Amino acid sequence: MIHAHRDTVSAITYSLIREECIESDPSVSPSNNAVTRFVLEQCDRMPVLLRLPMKLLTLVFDARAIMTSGRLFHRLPHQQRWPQIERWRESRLAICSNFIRFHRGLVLYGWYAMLEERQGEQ
Amino acid sequence: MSNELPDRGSDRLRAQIAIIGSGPGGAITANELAKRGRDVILIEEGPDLSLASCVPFSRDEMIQKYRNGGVTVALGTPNVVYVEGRCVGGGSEINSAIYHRTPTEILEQWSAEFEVEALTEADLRPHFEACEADLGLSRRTGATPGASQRLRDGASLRGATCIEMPRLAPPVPDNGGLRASMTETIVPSARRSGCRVLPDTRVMTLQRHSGGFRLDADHAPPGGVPRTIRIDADFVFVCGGAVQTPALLRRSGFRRRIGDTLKLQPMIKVVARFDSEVNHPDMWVPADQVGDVSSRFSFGCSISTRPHLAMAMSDHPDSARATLEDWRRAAVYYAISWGGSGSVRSLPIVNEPLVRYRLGREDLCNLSDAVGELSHLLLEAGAKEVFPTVRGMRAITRPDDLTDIPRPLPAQRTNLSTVHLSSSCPMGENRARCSVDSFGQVHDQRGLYVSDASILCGAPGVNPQGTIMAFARRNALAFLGEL
Repeated sequence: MIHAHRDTVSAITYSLIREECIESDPSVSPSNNAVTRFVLEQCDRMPVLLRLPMKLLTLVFDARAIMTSGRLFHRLPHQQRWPQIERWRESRLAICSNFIRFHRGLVLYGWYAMLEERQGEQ
Repeated sequence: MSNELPDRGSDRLRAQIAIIGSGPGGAITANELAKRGRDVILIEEGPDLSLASCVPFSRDEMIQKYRNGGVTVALGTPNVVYVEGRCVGGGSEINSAIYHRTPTEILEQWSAEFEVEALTEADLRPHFEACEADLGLSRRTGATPGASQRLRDGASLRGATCIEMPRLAPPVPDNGGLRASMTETIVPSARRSGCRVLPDTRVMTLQRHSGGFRLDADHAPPGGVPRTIRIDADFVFVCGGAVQTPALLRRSGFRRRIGDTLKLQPMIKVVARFDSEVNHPDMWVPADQVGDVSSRFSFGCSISTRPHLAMAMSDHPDSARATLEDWRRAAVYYAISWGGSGSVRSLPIVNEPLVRYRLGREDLCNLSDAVGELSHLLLEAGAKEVFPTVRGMRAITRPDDLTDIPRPLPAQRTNLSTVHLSSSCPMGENRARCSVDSFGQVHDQRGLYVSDASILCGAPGVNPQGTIMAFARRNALAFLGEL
C-alpha cells in the first residue's frame, strides 16, 4: 500500500510537470524525483485527519485506471495517464477535482520553488 | 523539581508562570511578566529558529515554520485552507507583518456586545504605543512596486483609496521580506529578563495540581531522544492561537464555551495579467490595501513569487503556463471578508484539532461582490485578464464579464484560504457568550488565562497582530495589578 501510494503520487507528479511546467534551462530545471519527494513529504506532514483519507483516495485513483485501461494508473504511460487526470480535474464531484487540485498545487509550487532556488544559486 | 531546562537533563520543571505558545500573544506576555521579575517559562511546540534561517515566503519556510507544512484545512462547504506558525515566534515569523491598530468601532462593538471592561481606544492606546515602540513600524522607502501602483491606479479610478499600511519591519529599502518578528525583538528581550524558553515541547494536557497547575508535555529536541516532561506552575497562560488553544483546553477538560465560536477572515485570491511588468523577485508582500469600497470586504496585494502564482492559478490550468512564462506581468491580489462561524474540537487518540467552518449564502454573496469589485478595479488599472480562484470560472477580460461572476459564489468550486483565525475563546463579562473574562482569565478557573487571537470577540476586519499584542500587554499588566 505504501509503495502504491508513492508510485501513484510519483506518476501524477511526472505527468503534471510534463504538461504544465514551463520549458527551462536543463541546468536549473528541478528533477522530477526531487519534486515527487517534496509532494510525498508534504503529504506526510498533513494532519492525520486529512492524510489517511488522501492516501486512500490516491489508491482509488490508482485503481480507477484498471476500469479504463486495464492497468493501475502508475503503470500506464503518460499518454494514457493524462486523460484520467483531466477527467478527474473536470469532474463534477468535488472530491475528484479537489484531489487533482491538491496535487497540482503542490507539484507546481514545488517545481517553481525549486527552480527559483536553483536559479538563485547560480 | 528543577529550574533547569530538559537539555540539561531534568524532566521535571517548576516555574511561577508557564506560558504555552510563543507567538505574539505568548511572547508579549512572557516579556512583560519577566521584565517585572516573575519566574516565567515560555513553552513552544515548534523549533527555535532565527528569522534568517530561511528565505521569507519560501519552500524552506513552509517546511520549517508552518504547522503541518501549511496543509491545514477548516472543513466546511467550502473548505478554508489556513496556516499557522509552529516555531518560536509563531505567526510573527511567517506573516506579512502588516500592522493595524484595532478600529475604534470594532472595540465599541465588542465592548457593548460582550461586555468587555476597559476596552476603549483610550484604554488601549498606551499598549499599542508600547508595542509599536518595542517592534518598530516602517513604511516603504523605495519605489512603489508595479503591483501596488496598479492597485492604486484602479482604486483611484473607482473612487476608492489605496493606503500603504505600516509594517512591523526595519526601515530599510525593499523591507518586504524582513519582519520585526518575535525572535528578532520580544523573545530576546524576555530572555534578557530571565525568561526560560523551552522549544520543541508540545503540552498535551494541563491539570489542576496542589493549588496550581501540572503540565504534561512531549519534548522532542532535534537529534535528541523524545521524552515526556512535567512542568508545575502556579499560573498558566495558554497562547497557542485560535486553533491550538481551544484544542489544548478541551482535551484538558476545560470545555465551557471553549472552541465554540471560531471566526476567520476568508480570503479569495485573483491573479491579474497586465501588458507591462508589475512583478519582480524582491517585491515580497506589498503593504497596500483598499478598505473603503465596502464595509463587507477589503482588498490588497499578495505574495506573487512564481511558486505562489502557480498555486493561485490552480483553478485555471489552461492559462497557467502562459501566465508563468510571462510572470513579471502578473501579480496576485486578495479580497478578504469576515463572515461565517466555526468550531474547534480535539480529536481523541490522534490528539489533533478538528476545525469546522460554515459560510452562509450571505457570506458567499459578499465574497462574490468582493471578487467583482476587485476585478473591476484591476481591469480599470489595465489588467488584460483576471483569474479568480473559482474552479471552472472563465477569465474576466472586460467589464461586461463581471455579470458572469456567480452570486453567491459556488460553494463546491470556490477555493478560499485564510491566515487570520480568532475568537474561539472570546473575552468579556457576558457569560452566555464568553469563555474568559475581560482580562483573559478563564471564567471560574482562577489562575488559568488565555492571551492570543482566541480572546478577540470577533474578526477585527484588519490584520490582527497589533490587536493581539496590545491585548496581551494589557492583560499581563492587569494580571500584575498594574493596569
